Amino acid sequence: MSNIFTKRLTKELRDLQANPPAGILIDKADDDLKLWRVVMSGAEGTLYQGEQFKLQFKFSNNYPLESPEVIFLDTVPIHPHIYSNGHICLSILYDQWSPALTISSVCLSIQSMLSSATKKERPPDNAMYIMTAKKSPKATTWAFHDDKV
Amino acid sequence: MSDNNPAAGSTSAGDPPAAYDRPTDEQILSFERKIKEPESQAQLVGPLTSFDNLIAEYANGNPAILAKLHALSTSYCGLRATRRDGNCFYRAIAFRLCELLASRRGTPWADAVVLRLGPECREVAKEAGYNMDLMGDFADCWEDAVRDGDVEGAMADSVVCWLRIVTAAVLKKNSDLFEAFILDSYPTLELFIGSQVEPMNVEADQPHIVAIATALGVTIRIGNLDSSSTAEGAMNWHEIDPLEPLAVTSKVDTDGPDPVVELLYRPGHYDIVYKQAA
Repeated sequence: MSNIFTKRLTKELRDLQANPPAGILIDKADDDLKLWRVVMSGAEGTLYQGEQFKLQFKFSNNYPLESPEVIFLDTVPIHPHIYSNGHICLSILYDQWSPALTISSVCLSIQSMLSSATKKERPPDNAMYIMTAKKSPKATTWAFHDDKV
Repeated sequence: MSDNNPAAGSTSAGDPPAAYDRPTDEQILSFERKIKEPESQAQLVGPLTSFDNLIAEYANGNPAILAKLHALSTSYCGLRATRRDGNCFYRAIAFRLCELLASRRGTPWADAVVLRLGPECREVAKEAGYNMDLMGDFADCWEDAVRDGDVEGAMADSVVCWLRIVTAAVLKKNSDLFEAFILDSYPTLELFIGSQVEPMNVEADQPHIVAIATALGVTIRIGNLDSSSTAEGAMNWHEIDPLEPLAVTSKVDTDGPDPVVELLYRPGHYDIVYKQAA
């Protein structure tokens, strides 16, 4: 499996460096490919235009059969599905992850989630969530109720 | 008095929100792990056993199911239990088809199936928009297992993953047909595929079965072990043929009828069943 892990992430890294999607930039990928930092720019004409955010991707040996752990670092966007500790409520990062998804498609989903926000606000349960949440968002039992934002 | 317990009684403005009473996520996850523990250690595909265990399981249960098991055991020699992890359908198909192909190696049927499940599946996946540069590694796992008759390899999660992709690809290719069944519950076929086909550990249903039979070019027979009463415990079998029949060039009589993959279905689960040698 680690063979698929290395082959897959090497290809993804090469593709992302050669053809990065608009507003997505690989900042750093560790030599063992297990930890990546991605810089994401808010899309033009949205509430996040002109802002830059840093995403961290952590991969287990079982990637891509298992989803990556994805969180925002440092300046966390203010958004109804993003907690102030950087955790992101997005189903494809958890139980709807599929090995057909990529780092690139995950970034585009997060960017599109930012773009469709109509109001900058934290999730209603932010205060309680960050009090009890573990370090990894994958240790959370997520409930997804809103496909619109 | 229940008033001393903040969890009881109606909530008023001063009460903490009810959510404070829920167990922590950590507790929920550890509870979930505990429930799933026996299952997560079960073999992906178990050894071939008689129906005795299953018959014992239903001994004090529904008489109609028991009658079906007894009837089944007169013409079928046994079953392989698969792990109940939501991937059992794909895993059972991969395992059994790999076995059948190894036993019929070199026959026109086997040659036609190998062509269908290899290059033709890759083509369908590519046409459906999957990036074969990335997904090809999973296709390799499946094709290598089939080539080597390696049933261990055929059980792997990477094979389950690839069979999910080809299932999704066939659904997309025949979207006109499948949308009729799916759009009742899902706004689009894409959303159905994204939540019910591509993710691991999500069980297969009728559309998935038709799609995978089509993708692999193999007939799938499913015995439904339900509690309906039937004469002499006759099993309700559902036979699912590929939408596009397999192109078997010549038919050699000695090969006998084309092999089919036979599964036993109980709600939410599929095991592999084996017919007695004629």
